[in-house]
Amino acid sequence: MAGQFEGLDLTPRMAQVIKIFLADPTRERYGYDLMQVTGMQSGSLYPLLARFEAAGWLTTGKEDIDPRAEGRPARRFYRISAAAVPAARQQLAELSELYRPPVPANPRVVCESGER
Amino acid sequence: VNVVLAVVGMVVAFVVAAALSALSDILKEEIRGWIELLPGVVLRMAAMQLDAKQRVTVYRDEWLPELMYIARQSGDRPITRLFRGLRWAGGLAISSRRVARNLRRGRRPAAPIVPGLPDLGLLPVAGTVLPGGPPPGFLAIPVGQKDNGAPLVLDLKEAAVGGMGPHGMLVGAPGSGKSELLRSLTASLAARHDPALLNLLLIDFRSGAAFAEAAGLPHVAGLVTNLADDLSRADRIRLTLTSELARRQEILRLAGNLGSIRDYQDTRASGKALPPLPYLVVIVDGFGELLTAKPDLLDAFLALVRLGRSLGMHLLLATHRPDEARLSGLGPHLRYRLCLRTRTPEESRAVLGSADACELPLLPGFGYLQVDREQARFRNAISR
Repeated sequence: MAGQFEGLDLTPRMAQVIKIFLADPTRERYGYDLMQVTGMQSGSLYPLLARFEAAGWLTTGKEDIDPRAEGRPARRFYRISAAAVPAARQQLAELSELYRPPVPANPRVVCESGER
Repeated sequence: VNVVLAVVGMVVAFVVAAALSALSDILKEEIRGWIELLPGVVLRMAAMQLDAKQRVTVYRDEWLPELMYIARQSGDRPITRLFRGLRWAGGLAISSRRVARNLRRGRRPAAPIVPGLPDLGLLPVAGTVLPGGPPPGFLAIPVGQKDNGAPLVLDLKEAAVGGMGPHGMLVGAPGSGKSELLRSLTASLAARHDPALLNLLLIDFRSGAAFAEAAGLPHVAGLVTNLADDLSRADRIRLTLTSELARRQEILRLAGNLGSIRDYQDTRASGKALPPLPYLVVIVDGFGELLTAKPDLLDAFLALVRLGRSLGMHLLLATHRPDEARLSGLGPHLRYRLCLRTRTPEESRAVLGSADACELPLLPGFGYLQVDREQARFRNAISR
């Protein structure tokens, strides 16, 4: 659809970041706020944002404020691109499938060991 | 002599004290200046790793405003400001080479949200390709048992393919089993359909008790509750609905000016490489209250009932006050009527055209399903 879009193989960290964007695809997010939500350091977060942006997963724009009234310049926000939403959903689903603990081969053993 | 010495001593002490105090003010200023300056210096070091063009788009347009925001956030606590600023800028100093490398292909400007955006992302877990046409029983779900014991099936499909839909309403007084029926409808839809074929958008004006368990289903593309507490969410609903309508129109257009989602599914089944486009069932609980609180939402719902049939969007409105829904022009578009016990004969008449639903047994779960003046009594399972 809009713009070029290329596939990325999500690392767990990338998945953690893109999941936040996916939670509300219309919402604008800022670097510093994302650090606080994810608990990631700027050194890990910003390269990921740059990677997502270059691949067309994230788009950026300027905060809609009056710099004079706020006493600071407008910040740059990130938003997930329309083309990335289905791809991100799909990949997160695949990853969660990959990381889910296996169902024990013999479920009865789990019950006997006092699970219930 | 002693007096002179004492006076001189006092003067000296005063001068020293004044000098010291002035010095400490200078020192304080100096320290404050450094506090402001230090993160900035580190950030400039980070910017040295960037390309010349990136120094404008990344350093000037993003990093500097962010640092000033962080300083603002830390308010009047200089040490906090220093600590946060340094930590943030320090991380960038370490990673700026990677940022520069990743961004070499340029920045992406954000597209305006409306129209066509946002994409709800209604894509399924598995990219299932259908063997051709919707499977038998598609969008048909049992709602309960008829008086003769046979299951009563509600078919959400449109009339042209033998269904009772595409849209409908559910009315029931508090305690009539409305939430329970919504719960079983949602669960049945999810249990009988691949998320590649069917997605759900669940909206509850109140706490969302009816949908709480459904939240984790892969079919649920969106769950919005507690609108009563935060009416700004209603604006997001409007945006979501209108955008989703626009998105689907665009998808049909791009796939070759197709007339409806059925054409799309057929084209896709015939082997053309098209992404899955699931049907979307939008279920709203507390619709009467929602419309009272936010009357301007009506337009979005009117657009949905008018355009939804060909775009694969089905609406089910649930309320315990049927009058609003009828008055606001949606009524004629809501073809199937599920009516549990109502408080007054008027409410029953508003839904069914008769007072029948007012005379239902005083037990939760009893109700009528009416489609085009044909009516059947049923009892829904109660899972308490």
